[in-house]
Order: sequence, then C-alpha cells, then structure tokens
Amino acid sequence: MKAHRWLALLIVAFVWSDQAAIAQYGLYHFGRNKIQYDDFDWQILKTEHFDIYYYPEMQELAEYGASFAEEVYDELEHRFNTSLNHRVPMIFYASNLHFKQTNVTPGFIPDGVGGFFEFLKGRVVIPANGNIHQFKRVVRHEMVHVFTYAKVIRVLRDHRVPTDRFLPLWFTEGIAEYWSGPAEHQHEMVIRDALFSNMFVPLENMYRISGSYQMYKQGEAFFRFISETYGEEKILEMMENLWRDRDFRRVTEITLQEDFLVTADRWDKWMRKIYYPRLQEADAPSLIADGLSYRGFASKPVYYRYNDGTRKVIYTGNEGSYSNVFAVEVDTAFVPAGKAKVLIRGERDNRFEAFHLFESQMDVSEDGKLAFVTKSGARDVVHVFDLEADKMLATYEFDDLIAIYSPAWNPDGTGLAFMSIDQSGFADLYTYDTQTAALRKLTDDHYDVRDPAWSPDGRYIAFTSDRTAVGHHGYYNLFIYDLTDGHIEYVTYGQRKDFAPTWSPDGQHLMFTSAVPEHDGRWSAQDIWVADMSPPSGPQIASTALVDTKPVFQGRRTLHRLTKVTSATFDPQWTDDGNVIFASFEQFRFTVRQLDDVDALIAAPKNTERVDLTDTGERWAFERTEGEDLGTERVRYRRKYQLDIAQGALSQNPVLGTTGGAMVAFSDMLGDEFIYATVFNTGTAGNRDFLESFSAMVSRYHLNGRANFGYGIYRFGGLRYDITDPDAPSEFPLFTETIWGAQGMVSYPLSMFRRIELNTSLSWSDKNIPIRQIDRQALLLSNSISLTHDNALYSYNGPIQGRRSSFTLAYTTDVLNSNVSYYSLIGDVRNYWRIAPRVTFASWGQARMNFGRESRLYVAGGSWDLRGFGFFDVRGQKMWFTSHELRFPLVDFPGLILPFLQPFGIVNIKGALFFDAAHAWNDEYFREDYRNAEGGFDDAEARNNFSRDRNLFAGETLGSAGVGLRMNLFGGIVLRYDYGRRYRDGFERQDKVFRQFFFGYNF
Amino acid sequence: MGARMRRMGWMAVVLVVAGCSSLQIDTLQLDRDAPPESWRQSGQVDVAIQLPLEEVWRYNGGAGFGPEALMVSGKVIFISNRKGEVHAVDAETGKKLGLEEFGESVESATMTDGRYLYLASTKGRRKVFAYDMQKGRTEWRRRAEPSDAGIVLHDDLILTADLFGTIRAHQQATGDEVWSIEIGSEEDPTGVKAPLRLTNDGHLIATDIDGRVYRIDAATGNIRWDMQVGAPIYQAPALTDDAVYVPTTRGSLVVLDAATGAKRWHRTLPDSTIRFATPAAANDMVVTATTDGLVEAHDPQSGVVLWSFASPDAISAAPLITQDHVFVGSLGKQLYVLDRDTGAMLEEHEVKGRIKTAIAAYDDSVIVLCEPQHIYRFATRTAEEVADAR
Repeated sequence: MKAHRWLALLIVAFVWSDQAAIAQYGLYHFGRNKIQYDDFDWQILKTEHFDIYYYPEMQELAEYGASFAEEVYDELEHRFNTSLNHRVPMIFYASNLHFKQTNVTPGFIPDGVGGFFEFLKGRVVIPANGNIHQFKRVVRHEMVHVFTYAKVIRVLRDHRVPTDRFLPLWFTEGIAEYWSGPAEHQHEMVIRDALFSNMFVPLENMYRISGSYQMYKQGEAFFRFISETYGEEKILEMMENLWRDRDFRRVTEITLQEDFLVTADRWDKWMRKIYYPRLQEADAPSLIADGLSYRGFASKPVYYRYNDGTRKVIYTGNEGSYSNVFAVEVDTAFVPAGKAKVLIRGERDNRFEAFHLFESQMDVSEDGKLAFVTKSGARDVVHVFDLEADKMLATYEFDDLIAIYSPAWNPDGTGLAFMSIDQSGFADLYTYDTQTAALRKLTDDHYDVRDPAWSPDGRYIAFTSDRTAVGHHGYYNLFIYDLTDGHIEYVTYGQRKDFAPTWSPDGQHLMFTSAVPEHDGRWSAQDIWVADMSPPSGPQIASTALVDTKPVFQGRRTLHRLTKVTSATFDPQWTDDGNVIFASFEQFRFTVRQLDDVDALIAAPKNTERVDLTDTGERWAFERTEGEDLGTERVRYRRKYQLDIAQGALSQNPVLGTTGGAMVAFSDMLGDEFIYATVFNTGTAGNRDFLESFSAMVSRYHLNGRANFGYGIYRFGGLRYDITDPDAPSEFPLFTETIWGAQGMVSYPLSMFRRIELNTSLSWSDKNIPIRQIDRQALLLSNSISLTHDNALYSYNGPIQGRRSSFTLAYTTDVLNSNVSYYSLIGDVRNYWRIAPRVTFASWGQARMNFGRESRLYVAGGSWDLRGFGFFDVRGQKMWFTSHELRFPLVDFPGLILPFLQPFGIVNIKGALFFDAAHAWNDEYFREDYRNAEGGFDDAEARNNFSRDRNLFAGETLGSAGVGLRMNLFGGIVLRYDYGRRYRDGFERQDKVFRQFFFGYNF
Repeated sequence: MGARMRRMGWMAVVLVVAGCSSLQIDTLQLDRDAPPESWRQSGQVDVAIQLPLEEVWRYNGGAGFGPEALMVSGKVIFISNRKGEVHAVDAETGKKLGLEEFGESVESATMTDGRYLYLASTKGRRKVFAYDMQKGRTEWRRRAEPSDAGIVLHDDLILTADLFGTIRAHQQATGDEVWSIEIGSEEDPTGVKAPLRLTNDGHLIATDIDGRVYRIDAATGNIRWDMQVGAPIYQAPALTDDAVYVPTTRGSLVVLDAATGAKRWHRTLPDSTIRFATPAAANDMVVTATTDGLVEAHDPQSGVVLWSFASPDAISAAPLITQDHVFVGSLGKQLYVLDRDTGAMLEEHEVKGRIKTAIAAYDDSVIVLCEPQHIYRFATRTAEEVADAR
C-alpha cells in the first residue's frame, strides 16, 4: 500500500517539476542538438499505395522513389502473400545532411544510415546519396520491413497471440537485405572477412553481433542459404509460424523440421564450402602490405613529401575515439617513424562537425595543401590545410551544394574538383577555382559520380560513375572528363564496380579498386587494378552510348589486377616513390597499408582483362512516376496531428483510494509538432474531493525550425511530495498545493554542441502545510536562461572523452504578494580525459545556489552523484559537489570465460576508482525543535544542530571513496556496483562502509 | 463453514469459466445425406445466385481464419479459427449456435458426418478430434503432429496429413489408426501444408511442400501415382473428374491427369514470385487467381485463356464458380462478382478486412470470411426482407 502511494507521489513530483516550471526548479539536461537548418516546403505525391513526402527541389527524385516503391510493393505482395491495409507514408530527403534533420526520430542519424522504418506511424524515411540504384535498394529494404511488420502482426493477431514477440533483429534486417536485390560487393567483403578471419558468428550466437553491419550481412547470407537449401517459401513460413512459440529457435525448428543446431551447422558448412576454396588463391592484406596505422579505423590515405624531405601519410581515422585527420611520418621504406599525430581534431566543434569517413577522400596539392571535407552546420564545406605551415588556409562553402565529397586538386593547386549533391538529390561533378572563386558544374544529369582525380597534365578528370550502360544494376565504370571540350569517355566498361581512380605521376596509368563478378555470380574481393591510359589498341570506334563522347580513347583497353586479397582494398594512392598507399578491410578493421614497387606489380599482375569500349550500349534510365495520368496526385503538406501513444495507469487501494493517470501524445507526420496531454489524480485518501486532486497538463512543441519552442498550461492539485520545498517537513515533505499556470520555453542551438535555453512560467500557487501552519498564496513568475555545451563521446557505460557543461541563471518571484523571491545560479562542468586508449579520468564539478525568499533546496545523494548516501538525502539551498572517477577495463568479453553471461550481451566489465565530495548549506533553514521553551539553546550541540539539519546532511562536507564495477547488458542497460566508505565532517570522520547497486550510465 | 463457502465460490467461478462454450447443437439441421464438402473439391457449386447482393448478416468469428476455415452442412455453418475455436452459426440468421475450443489453432475446415464433427488442430497436445455434437462432448482425440491440411472423410475413415509429411487414416468411430504413410524421409524431409482432396472414386489427393502430388487409395494408403510439379505447393489443388489443378508458389499452375498423374498443361507466369491461389474448376472452365491480382478462366482441356479480370489487389483466396458467376475475394478487402462467361465485373463489395479464405455458397447466397474475424453472408434480399429491414 505504502509503496503504491510513494510511487504515485514520485511520479507526480517528477511530472510536476520536469514539465511545469523548469526555471523555478533549476533543472537542466545535457545532450547534443539536432538542428533543423532548412525550412522544407513539403509536398505529398499520392500514388496507389504510398504518400510520398518530398520538397519541390527534389521532385524528380521523389518520382523515381514513387516508382520504385510501387514496383517493390507488387513484388512483396507475392513474397509475403499479403497486402497492406494502409497507405505507406514515405519521406524522402535529398541528401544525408537533410536526412539528419528529420524529426521523425528524435535520435541522431550518423553517416552511412540508408534509411529507417518507424513503427508508430509506419513511416519510411530515406535519404538519397546520389546513387539512384542504391536509393532504389534502400526503398526495397525499408519496404521489406513494412511488409514484415504487417505480416507478423497479422499472424499474431489472427492467432490471438500477444504482439509482444517479434522476429529477432538479424532476421528482419537479413531478410530486408536479401529481398532488396542481389548481394552487393560489400556483402562479399564482410562475409569473406568474417570467414577468413574466423570471425563468422554461428547462427546460435547471432545476438552477439546484434545491430552491427556484420549482422546485416550474415543475416542476408543466411536467407540465401535458406532459399537455396530449403526453398524461398520457408522464409515466409518462419514468419507465419512465429505464433507457435516465443523461442525463435523453436519456430525455426518447426519450420525447417530439424534441430536448430543442425540448421546452424548446415549453414556454417554451406558457407565454408563456398568461400574456403577462394582462400587458396587470395592473400590477406596484412600478408602482402605493411600497416601504417594500428589503432581503430583508418582510411582515405594521402601522401605528402615536405620541403624538408619528411614523408608523411595522412589519413582520417578515429583510434577508437573522435574522428580526426592523422599524420604519420614514414621513412624512405615507408616504415612508420613514430606514432600518428592528430592533424585536425574532428567532431568536437561546429567547424569540423563530422567527416564522411567512408565516403570522402582527401587530396594534397604539390605545394602541400591538404583538401578535405567536413560537415559544418547545414552543409558540407571544403577545408584547405597548409601542411608546410601547419595551419588552416581556407574553408569553402557553397550555398547551393549540400553534400560534398572527395575534393581533388588540379596540378598547380589552384583548383579543386569534387562531387556534390544539391537540393535535387542528384550527384554531379564540379570544379572550383580557388583564385577566382568560380564554381563550374561539369555534369548535370541523374547519374552518380564519385572520386574525381585530376590528371597530371591538368586536361582530364578521371572519375567513377554509374552512367555506364549497365549502371541501373549498380555497376560502376571509370570515365574521364576532358576539360578542353567537355567530352566524357569510358576508361573501363562492363559488369564491374570500379572506384577511386588515381593517376600515376607520369599520367600513363590509372590505378583504382574494383570488384568483378566471379564464376558463380558472387562478387570478387575488391582489389587494386591499373588501367593503361595510353591510347588503347584496336579499332577506334565511336561509342553509340554517350552522345557526349568522342572516339579518342575508344577501343580495347588492358586492365591489370595487382592484388588478390581476401576482402577489400580502398582508395589507392600512387606515391612519387613508386609505392602504393591504400586502405584495407581485414578483421573488421580498416587499416592504412603500403605496397612496394608498383612497377613490378604491373609487370606481373594477378591477371589481366581486356575491356571492349567499342560497343557500350544504350545509357540506362529508370522509370519514374510523373503526371496525373498515372493516377498520382500532388498536394501540399498540411500538418495534421495523429495519435502516437496513449497509456494510462491506475492503482486501487482500499485505504488510500484510487490513484491514476493517463497520457496521450500526438504529432504530425513529419514529427515537427507535438502535443502532449497528461491527466492524473492523487485523490488517494478517499476523503478528498476528486476535482481538488485533479491535475492536468497540455503542452505543445514546435521542432520544425532552428529554434525549438514550446508552451503549455497546467493545473496541479492535491497531495504533493516535494523534497525541494523549503517549507515542507524535511523527514516527510508531504503537503497540499494547487497550482494553475502557463509555461513557455525556447531552445536555440548555436551548433550541434551548444545551445541557449530560455524558460518562463507564470503560475498561481496555493500551498498548505498544516504541520507547519503554512498557508501561502503566490503568483509565481519564473524565468531562466541556460547555456549548455556537450561534445562528450560515449561508449558502452557512459562518456569516455570530451566535455559537458551547463550554466543557468534563474529568477523566481511572487509578483503579487512578494512571498517568494529568489535567484538561482547553477554551474555544472564535466570533463572526460582519455589518459590511455581505454582509460578515462572523469571529473565533475558542480555548484548550485538559490538565495532569496522561499528559495528551494537542491538535492544530492545516491548512486548518481554523492555515493554512499541515500537518494536525495543531502539537501540545501546552496551546494557544491565534485566527483572524480578513474574508469579502466577489467575483463573483455566475459562471456568467453563465463558462458552463462553470453546471452546478456556483455561486451566488457570495467572497473572504477571514485572519490565524491559535497557540501550543502542553508541560510535560514533552521530546526526549530532544537530551541528550548524560551527560544534559546540548551547546549552547544543544540545550537549546532539548530543550523545543521541532521536529516538533510546540511552544514557539513560529506564524501565517499571506493571502487566499482560497470557492465552493460544488451547494449543498453548499465549495471553499476560501488563499494566504498563514506566520510563526514569534512572528511575528518570515517563513516560506514557502503555497497550500492544501481542501473544507469556513468556521469 | 467459511472454507466451504469459499470452495463453492471457486467452483462456481470454474463452472462459469468452463461452461461458457459448447458445440451441442440440433444435428437435424445438418445435411446427413450429401457429403458436406463436395463443392470444396472443385471450387464449383451448381447453384444460381441472384444479383444484386447485399449483406444479410455479419458474424464475429473470434479470430483469424486459415485458407479453408469454412464448412457448410445443412443450415449450419462451421467456422474454425486460428485461436482453436470452432463456431457453429445458423446460416439463415447468422446467430451463434455453439462454440468449442480445440487445441490452439485450427487452420483448416472441419468435417461432419451429421453427428460428429472431425477436425485436426495445428497446435496443442491432442490434435485430431471427434466431437459429438448431440452430446456436446469430445468423443475421442488423438495425439498427432501439427496439421494445417484438415480432414477428409471417406467411408468409415478420416484422413489427415501433418506438417512433417505423414498421412494417416483413423477409424471414424474410435480414432484408431488404420494406416499411415510417410511421404518424406529423414534425409529429405517434407510436409503437407495444403488441404487434402478426395476424388469421387475414393482416392486422396495430397500435395507436399516440395512440389510432389500424390494420389493415394484412401482405403489402403497405397500410393497410385505421384508427380513432381517443380515448385512448392502450399495451396490445395482443385479436382474435377479427370484432372487435378495444382497451384504452386512460384508462378505456375500445373494440370495433371487425375487417373495417371501425367501433366496435361501448365500456366507459367514470367514472375516466379507470384503465388497461385487454389483454383476453382468446373467441367467447362477452370478459374485461377494469383497474388498479382489476375483472375483468368481457362479451357480445362487446353489451358487457353477464355477471359481474364485484373483486380487491383492481390488474391490468395480460392474463387468460387456458380451457375452464372465467379466470386473472387481479394486482399484489398473486396468481394468481386464476375460474369461466368465473360469475366466482366458485375458487382464489388467492400468488407472489413482482407479475404484470405475460400468463398463458400449456402443456398442462394455466398459466405465470405475476412480479417480480422468477420463472416459475411451476401444474398439478394426478397421484397419482404427489404420491407422487414425497413
């Protein structure tokens, strides 16, 4: 009974204080900012089964997407043997940078996320990335999710089975990949590496890689195995059998009619039988090329020889931390001469907000200017860093260009070529003259372009593109753009994936990476190839495919394969010493490596291919939905609120009566506006009037602009448990209060890492505390302003690097009777020093102060801050607090040692040494019961206790020190166990030993 | 005294909970003479249904339905659902006559001999049941593997097939096994998903998920012939006197000679992901429907397309051929009434959910089952009925 009551009171206290009067209660929170830079003019294209949300600039892309969606709808109707009962809202963005602004999900969207399906409203959200084939594939992927969800929910409901069970994540993502189309070359890269590195995860342990890219690809491989071994129908049958058992292993057994482990074993053998023969003739990258980077992720290398002869390899990487640009000095044999040093610190401020780690190359000019791209606010910018002078030279930003990739210098270092995606969502090739600031668009079509490389004579730009005749199947070939006349010519042609061309210093060769189909249709590993760029042999025949081509380079060209690796190589760079610097993928790491003597490799290639450029076929084009003749309709988007969630709770107690509440949330389709309504009642004693204890709050939030703002009205009444109220009894701060009011708030992000928040509220408060004979009315006006900064980097258990801080100034006053008038000052700074790759020293300093009439109390104590003391046991109007913690690894993958831990998904167990200290004090918060009848004090202790409320631990410096363990369960729940001793009286007195166990991230 | 009262209270609760359902009905309403499901073998019924159709009644079936969840006997409609219930409904009024639970899901139709109801459950400890509808109690029940394929009655036998490829014959009276055959093996397991069919000369037509069709002597269990059609079979075939129309999951329909199993003709669509629904076959035409929404009438001898109708929605439920019409239910929640001779759409009716279950005829009306749990009767109302409704 009591527990119910306390729970209800705590909920009320939380809702009350968190939502109603943030300023008055001195609340603040950290976190980065998701900024809506652009004001999109949303339109809706209505097709037979879809509502396509788009903005006018990307209409053509939306029409492609609509066609793809309708096409896959028909196909998935067959595969799932069902149809959808609802129209599918599909929201398109022109680029990943626009996609990052979506309000459909509150979470941050990193680079590389191709789209997502959201369950509440069944929305599909997809950005373009310049590649229409890939765009189509993502549409298919997400539509498989939509159908899977509809199918499974229907199956469960048909059988009247609770819908709290679902397919495992590896299943849903695996089937989405498998039914998106033929396996891509990245699939082969991951699968081969997993098998050859002995990191292939058995079916029964797929939970260990839950959410990872490997999980997607292994899931895809599993369904290929199921399809080829048992029949494609078994996939749907698994979904249709989900109602039969909660244990998906059992569902698999029923469907495949064999023990789950037998299936797992068969899959394992099937995979090895396919791939192990390939290992005979392949080399692991680490066996053929020396490494230049050894920690974390490292890719996109470039090479520069300084004027003083120093050689450095420069690359983007993260060393398990923030992404930076690193430089490592190498000797003449390309052996690292020391540790890599950070050249550009990324991901900590608005200027270098994010690198496109997997997508954007860097380049160095002859005179040592490093060009690279970062996201900086609303769009990408090109930075130029002077390697010789070790300083930033310039940053180029272009109003109409959203995403920018792979800048490449011209030979004299005065111009850049790069790929960019504009508002239309299509990728094109640009050049930019840094002297004249002239931007020139070289291509203007729907084909993808990537990885430009300027020829040493300055006449050509080599690039990779799907403008090839077979491009709609996702193939990429190499082309050159002739800057003298604007003609584009094939360099390679055919069913290949050719990327990242780089010229030899003499301009006679183009080096690139390529994956090609093998005898069984699977993609080969991505190897380093070289194309001879001297005019090809054979007849010089003009291509019929490209109207803008000329016959100079047409004919047959010889391509040499220089490597045959187990997984993949990336971004080769041809040094003036005749070496090749490149990145490789091995053991699920990207590493920068170097190969010696490229001339020798060309002289003895792994194999040679002749590509025929004389007959390159017609250029491809996808169909797209356009015009009302196809039954489509276009309307302007108007916000309509739809229910997101409704939930309620009720507790019935024969003594305390009924306590309960309900909450509903509405939002529009784009998630730009929210309405929350909450009602609850604490009329628990039965003798209290229902309306007197009735509380309600309605608030509305607008998230569609850079500044987010919200407002609302509220009414709270009845019993209230508030440990921060200075008038309330300290031991059991329960009283009645009725509050009517309105609130408003604005949050303006200065950058992704910093924001200003303004809060205001005006409320009528009628407080009654019978035990203290307090009956106070006040019209409270409360205002606050906060500045918050957060660039902390998180790992499994909490922040590991970076800084978080918040400073708040607030003023609360009773504008009617002057019963209340106090200022609030809050400063909170948390620093995370990474003193070793896996060791962090975290420091937290906090000072909080309320001063004035009826100023509220701050609280501390508990596992979150002052350990060893009970939750909220330390209270005072003024308080300082500090905590320091050394966080270090103890055991990695404890499940390997203790197998019973495996199902809990514990990646590691970390240790902590901690020290906490705090001091709280009050100006006018005395314990009157220590006075004697005459109003004086009987002794010194009574006098001391009068101003030192022992119940609140006020008036003394408290602290604790000890050790702790941290572990993360299932990638989300952090368990913390602390063991230590607490101290009192300014650390002069040792107090009791304590043990605390709790859930929650480290501070 | 207090303890006794409490016990009685508990007993009352148990009785209330346990006694809520029963399938004790007046079996005189059932048709004891005609095999109740002869129409199901072909998907064709020789009745004239007048248009226009109107909804006569709608019944809440309690849960979702399998592809053949309906049996009509006399004036009673038996509906089995995926929650394991069998409902008996008065076909005239749509009122519930009885309800009983069997296992955890009954995927296919029940069968009756006029007194006993026979059914196979797809989950639960006991999966084959004989239920005495006069007494309202289970006569016998047998352990078995899960079955989606339903029950076929032949003489004094009931025939079942399970998801693991075993076909069994039980005595109707006792449930004792008479014979059984395994159509799969440990090395090459298979299963029966599609409902069974019975030919007029007493042979069972069974299909497996590996694409093999079997003609089995129902009395002995001897396999007369078997034929591989090249694609998995998850939907029941349709039978005529001389042909077996086999729908597959990979864009093809294969027609076999009923006597020999020889392939007569096939209809193969360019898209192999398309699934065929159970066809409906009459002497002069066979009607196929697919998940791309295409309904086609074929000449049964040559396979020549006589007419076609393109539904905007996918179709997975078996159509029904009557004297003048073809009835087709779609996943787009539509009941289409097509002209039997031309395929022209005469009427369409929207129902509450996707139609995934074979359409049945009762008297001069059609019975349609749809998601999430609805059963409709559509018929032409007489002038008196219209007046009554007013």
